[in-house]
Amino acid sequence: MDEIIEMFSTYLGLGDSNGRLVIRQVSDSELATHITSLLQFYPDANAEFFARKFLKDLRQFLRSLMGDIITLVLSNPGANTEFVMLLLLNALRLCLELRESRHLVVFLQHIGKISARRVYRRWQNRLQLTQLYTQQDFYQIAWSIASNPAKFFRKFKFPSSLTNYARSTMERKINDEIFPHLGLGAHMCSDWGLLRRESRSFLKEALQTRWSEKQLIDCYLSARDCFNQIYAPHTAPGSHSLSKPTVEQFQAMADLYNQLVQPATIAGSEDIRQWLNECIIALRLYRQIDITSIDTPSSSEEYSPPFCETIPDRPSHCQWERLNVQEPAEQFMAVLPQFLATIPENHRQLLLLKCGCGLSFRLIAPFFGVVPSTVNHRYNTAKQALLNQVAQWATQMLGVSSESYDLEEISARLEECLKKYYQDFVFRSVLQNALSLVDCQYRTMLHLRYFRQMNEADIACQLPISTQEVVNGLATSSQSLESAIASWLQNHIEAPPDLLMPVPNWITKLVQTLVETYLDHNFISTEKEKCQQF
Amino acid sequence: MSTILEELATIYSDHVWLEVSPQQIEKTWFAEHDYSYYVARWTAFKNRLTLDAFLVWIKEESGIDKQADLWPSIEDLPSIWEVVNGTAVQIGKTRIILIPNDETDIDEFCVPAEWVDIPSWAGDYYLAVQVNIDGPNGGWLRFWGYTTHKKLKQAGQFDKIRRTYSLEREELIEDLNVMWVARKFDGDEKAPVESLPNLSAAEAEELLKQLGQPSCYSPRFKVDFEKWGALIGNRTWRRELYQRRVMPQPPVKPALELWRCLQNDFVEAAQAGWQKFEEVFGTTYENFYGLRGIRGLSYNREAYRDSPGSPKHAASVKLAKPIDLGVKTTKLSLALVTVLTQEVNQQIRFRIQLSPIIKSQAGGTGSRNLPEGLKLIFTDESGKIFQDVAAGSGDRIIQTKLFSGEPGDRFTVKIVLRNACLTERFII
Repeated sequence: MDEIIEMFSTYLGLGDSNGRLVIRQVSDSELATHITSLLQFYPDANAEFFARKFLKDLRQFLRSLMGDIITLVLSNPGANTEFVMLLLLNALRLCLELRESRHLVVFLQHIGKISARRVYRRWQNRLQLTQLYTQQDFYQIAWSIASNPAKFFRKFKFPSSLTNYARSTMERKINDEIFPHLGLGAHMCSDWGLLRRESRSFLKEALQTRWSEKQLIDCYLSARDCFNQIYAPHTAPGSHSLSKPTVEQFQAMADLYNQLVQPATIAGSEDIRQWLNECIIALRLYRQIDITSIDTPSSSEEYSPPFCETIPDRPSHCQWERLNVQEPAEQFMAVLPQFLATIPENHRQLLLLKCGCGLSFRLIAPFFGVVPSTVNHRYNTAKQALLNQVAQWATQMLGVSSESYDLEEISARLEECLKKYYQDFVFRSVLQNALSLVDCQYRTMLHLRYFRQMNEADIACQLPISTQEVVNGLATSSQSLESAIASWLQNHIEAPPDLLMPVPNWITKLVQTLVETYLDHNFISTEKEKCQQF
Repeated sequence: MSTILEELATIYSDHVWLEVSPQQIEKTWFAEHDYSYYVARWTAFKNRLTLDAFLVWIKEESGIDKQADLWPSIEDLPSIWEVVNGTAVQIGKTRIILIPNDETDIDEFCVPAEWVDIPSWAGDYYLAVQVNIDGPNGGWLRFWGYTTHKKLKQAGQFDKIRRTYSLEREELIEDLNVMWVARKFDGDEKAPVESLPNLSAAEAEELLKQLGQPSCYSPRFKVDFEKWGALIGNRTWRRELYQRRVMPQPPVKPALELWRCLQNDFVEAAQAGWQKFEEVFGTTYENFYGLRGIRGLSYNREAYRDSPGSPKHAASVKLAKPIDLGVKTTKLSLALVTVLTQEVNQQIRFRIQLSPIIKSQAGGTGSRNLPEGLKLIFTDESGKIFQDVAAGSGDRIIQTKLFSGEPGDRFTVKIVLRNACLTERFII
């Protein structure tokens, strides 16, 4: 219950702790009171339940609000664009202030913290990226994404798992945010190259930050559409730099613009040139947008407290940081083993490595002595075979149609199930037993480090022992678990010894992942008791 | 695959990431050059890269065991890319439309309306492809999702200025394995497509004249969509459009108006090179009504019965036109012969023949036999072939069967020998 209260009422932020930026938690008393009262009505409900409830309430509110706005506009024939914009802005503000919306913001912040950590860990080896971003930056990106739950959940469809949707969407959005800075995007383009390469939707967003008149924005967008119809590189590809369009090209763009848009005033080539320059300026500014910390003092004050200190403080009831993983549909899990039995053994081993151990095709390939493209082929074959069986089953037993968008839902459930199935398989086959052989104190350290995401210094404070003892303990216990998994894999799939000894990094990450995200509830209860005794 | 692409493939594990080498990029760029404006060449370049990579991926990694074929054919691709983005691939009964785009973001998927609203073009699935070729070490392609025709029609945002259907990224299905499985179920993934109005040959010619002039952007915006779709939906017209825009056009020969000839008005016919039969062949009919060597007509008596001069004909005309295929064969002189009759009920019937001109009067030793493989092809105004006759060994004449038509009907006759082709146009 405490976990649920925390998950829906305790904001996350960054604060200074002895010169280091650490995560701070600030409880919102109003939200805490509200969720506590709801828990009295729904004592057995989990986080998924409440998140779905709040989202439904939020959507209902939005529908009602839009209805009121439409009624207001229709009843005011003289209403102009600015009036409507004002109404919509007010509606957005009301929406964000709504209690259900705030509950979801907090929920998404907690999801975002875990997702940001995962994404950062994944990109940690990319030196270029860590020079651009710290882990704290990833947190802030995630919390920025979390700030508008109506937009975040816009494409979510009930009755899918909301928590799983939130996790995958959050990770994807964080990845999308950093993607252009991986040296793969068009950020090193000339002005004309930039104008050509950016998407229309991105340009629209950029223009909206500078201009509010819809007509003007549409004009610029149309000019850019005409530019794309006429301008293209005409030398061999590979250059970021594109030359300026010729006079004839600008004139052709003007002619095309006038033909398509049929404006009241005919546009000339000079008009087109000017509009395209506005687009370029908007794109440049939007790409390098200044980020101002929310803790920055306001213009009228030399100093003001950090943002999180403006929220009323109360002692945190947090004992556990926990991410609720929605259990995949029970029916799927029940039938999955019989479907898996129909695919070849080497495909099942491939799925174990891919879904259970999280390996890429490149890392899987040496296990079978083939090239990565062959692994890709086998994986696709296996997945299609399973999806085909599951889809047929779902069509017969659940009445689900076999069209693409319904199959997509089934495929998403299947992926969840495969991951759960194989992680469970690895945990129960080897890790659970291996953990029971580890010293109690070390087990506790592992739990606090990977499940509760505490750092070594905080663990040392809690136990209490020295930080160095914690570091040594974690290393020792991790090594024994990693060796156990490596040994088990070697026997289970007859892997070549040199692939697993010395223990590769991915097994280290697998141990961390299994402790972090796959939990045996009995184990946790037992450990909780032991911790309290300890 | 480079390390960073591997990492991206792990993060975006549902997407298909294909690396493209600098050599492939350069080779493809220089191979695609027959286009009339820069954007068309770039479109062809992107599509060719995408297509080549997709075909290899289908075969080696997709997990499906079906052959992928191009639609309509590899020869047709330039005529499509000259005017619109996209490539169609046929796998069994399923048509997949590849839509490559080289923008930085993948927030939106735009499909040109041609691929959705032209009945013969519409696909079952539409595959979104991101193309990135800006690095010095080559580039990559990313197949990041697909959608169905039904979804595009029902949920897509239609932009009437750009003539595209758009969906946001979240509305696409990112796992291509779903597409392969959905295909097997043969579900209803296509929305009804309204048929487009029929274009007459005259209307098509008018459009071809208007749109066939080279321009610096696609002609698809110059006329309303219904006419445009009807034009490029026809393979012959679309190819003609491409030819006119990309290659210089010879002056179009006027059509021979047969009805004038029946009224003894030979002025225009003479200007087009037609002469009276006797002026070309002399007074002998040996080539015509011989008992052997006539291909295209199974029964000689029919030839006599329908010959000019028989009682049931109110008027009859035989014209001949020496033709030069440009084939360097000293002994070959050919003439195209039109046998034209108007019956008492005013119906016009005609036959086209191809015969060597025997220069017997001049004492020459011209060949009596037609070269093997010489073809006479009869088509209507839309390019539909009604008869295709080829000369075999020892044939002295080839001819079409007897056709009839209404005044104003148009048809075309092509004489083809190896790479040489000559076209004559007629109006009944």
